[in-house]
Amino acid sequence: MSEVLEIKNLSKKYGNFIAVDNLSLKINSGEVFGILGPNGSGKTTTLGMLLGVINESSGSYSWFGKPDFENCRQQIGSILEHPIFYPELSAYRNLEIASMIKGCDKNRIDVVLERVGLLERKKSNYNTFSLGMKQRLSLASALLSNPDVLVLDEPTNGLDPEGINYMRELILSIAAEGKTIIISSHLLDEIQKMCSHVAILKNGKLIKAGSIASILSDKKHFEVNSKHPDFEERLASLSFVVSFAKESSHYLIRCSEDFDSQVINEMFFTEGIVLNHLVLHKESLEAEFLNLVQ
Amino acid sequence: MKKYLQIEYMKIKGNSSFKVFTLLFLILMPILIIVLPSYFKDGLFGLGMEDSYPFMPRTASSTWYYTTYIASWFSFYLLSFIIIFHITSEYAAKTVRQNIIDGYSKLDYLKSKIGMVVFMATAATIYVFIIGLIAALYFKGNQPDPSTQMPDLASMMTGTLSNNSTELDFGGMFDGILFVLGFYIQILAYFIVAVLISMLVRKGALAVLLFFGVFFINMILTAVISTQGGEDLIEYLPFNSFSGLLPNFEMEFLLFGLGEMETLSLTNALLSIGYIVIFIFLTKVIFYKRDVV
Repeated sequence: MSEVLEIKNLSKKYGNFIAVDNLSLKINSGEVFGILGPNGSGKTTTLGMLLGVINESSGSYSWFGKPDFENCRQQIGSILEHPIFYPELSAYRNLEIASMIKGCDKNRIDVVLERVGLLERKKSNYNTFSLGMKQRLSLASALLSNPDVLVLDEPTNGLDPEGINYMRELILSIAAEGKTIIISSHLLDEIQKMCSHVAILKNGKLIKAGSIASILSDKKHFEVNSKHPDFEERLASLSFVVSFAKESSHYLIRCSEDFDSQVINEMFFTEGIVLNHLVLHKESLEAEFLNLVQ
Repeated sequence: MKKYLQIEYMKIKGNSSFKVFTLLFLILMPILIIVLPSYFKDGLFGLGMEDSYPFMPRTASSTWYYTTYIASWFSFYLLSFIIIFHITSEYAAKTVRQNIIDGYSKLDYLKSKIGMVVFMATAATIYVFIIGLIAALYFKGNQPDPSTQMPDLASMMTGTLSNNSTELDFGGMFDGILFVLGFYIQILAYFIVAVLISMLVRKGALAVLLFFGVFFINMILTAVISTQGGEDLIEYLPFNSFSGLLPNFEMEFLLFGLGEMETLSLTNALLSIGYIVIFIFLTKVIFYKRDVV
């Protein structure tokens, strides 16, 4: 698996404010890589630097192992924040401008418009489009040069559930072709459905990165319960229980290590506690994200 | 460069201010240079106001001068605004950033804008040349009888009321053609200033204010330097260099006759070209140093 992007100690400062702080990251080809973070965490600033529109204060990045970004532009298709087009021009004319800038064949315009379901509206002015159509036109523009990498900043922002679903299916179909996709979003559920890997940013700093599976299995949660009279007090005293929380019919515990269910059961038994409920809690990315950023 | 120009044309052709300002320039130029003088020359419907039109061509030299002088004002007020509104609207709509994301390098973007203004300046100059040529042909063919002309102001002031027949000789068709070159350099300079200011402030209304503001600052500097006894330095100020390419000859014309209008200042031309290079460099520095937002 070849390396698509390497970021080394990338930082962006605005006066005394540090928007991105010493970020280092590697993304390999074929990954669908999610960049997560609360508002102001530096996601868009990071993508802006990687796309050459924001000057980095320090650090570096290289696409496809090449230090010169200008030679890689054709291989990268991007959407940064909201869709941006010339409002008085039609969808086709807007993509014509983009295709000329990208230096790609104009025959690709109809191909990408068909792919995003806008071929029949190609002569319509951009300012007559709904937000969902504008987002799809953005994706069409990003796909014009048939790039190896797609960088999508909040591609489902502002869309209704149907629009989100359409966009998700579209992105997954593109990912299925083997393209590398770097995507930032607030919609953690969407990221979990689409991404193979994530990086979580907070205040411009990388606080976690890896495959979704590894992040979610890092600290397993278990649902446990017992008829032990001092169960809650005992939970608080057990060394292998990092934290616990009472839920409606059970306690949700987080362990210090990556124990499996059998080991957990044995450890409780050793402590004189017989569990009558032990279930591996399926963790959501959202819960893990909130746990990490709070 | 052809690609850059094609892209810029596609962007700008739907812009209503581009259409209106360009049309105004194209329509008003022949009206002021050919149509109105011809009416005044024939006595303005018998009202006898032959000499009341300020831009009445009397020689080939004055024809080229008036054509370029009027065109330079239109270029300043109309064409420069097209550039300002085109660039600042790209910042407002964030299409500058989108162009960079789509694949333009910052240098590509800059080349496209500089290419556009060079093309606009060239096209305007060709149009002005054509209008000047038509005017020169028309007025040379309809040259008035020297005996009916008013004496020049200098003669009146000195009390020698004699007609100066050399002033009324239309001369060669291309006498004063160098004013067209002066016009080209001047509007190119104005356009580059418009690009620089647009990229500096990035907001349309502010850019227009600053575009006028720099000329006022230039005027104030001129006055200050004059009072300090630095008259020799005044012509080296950027906007004095530009305006010196097509100076206001009215007084000189009235006092000293038409011969004075045949010169294009080489110093001003070289200075203006120098300033154009400096302003392009400054534009590049500003554009490269800032984030494209």
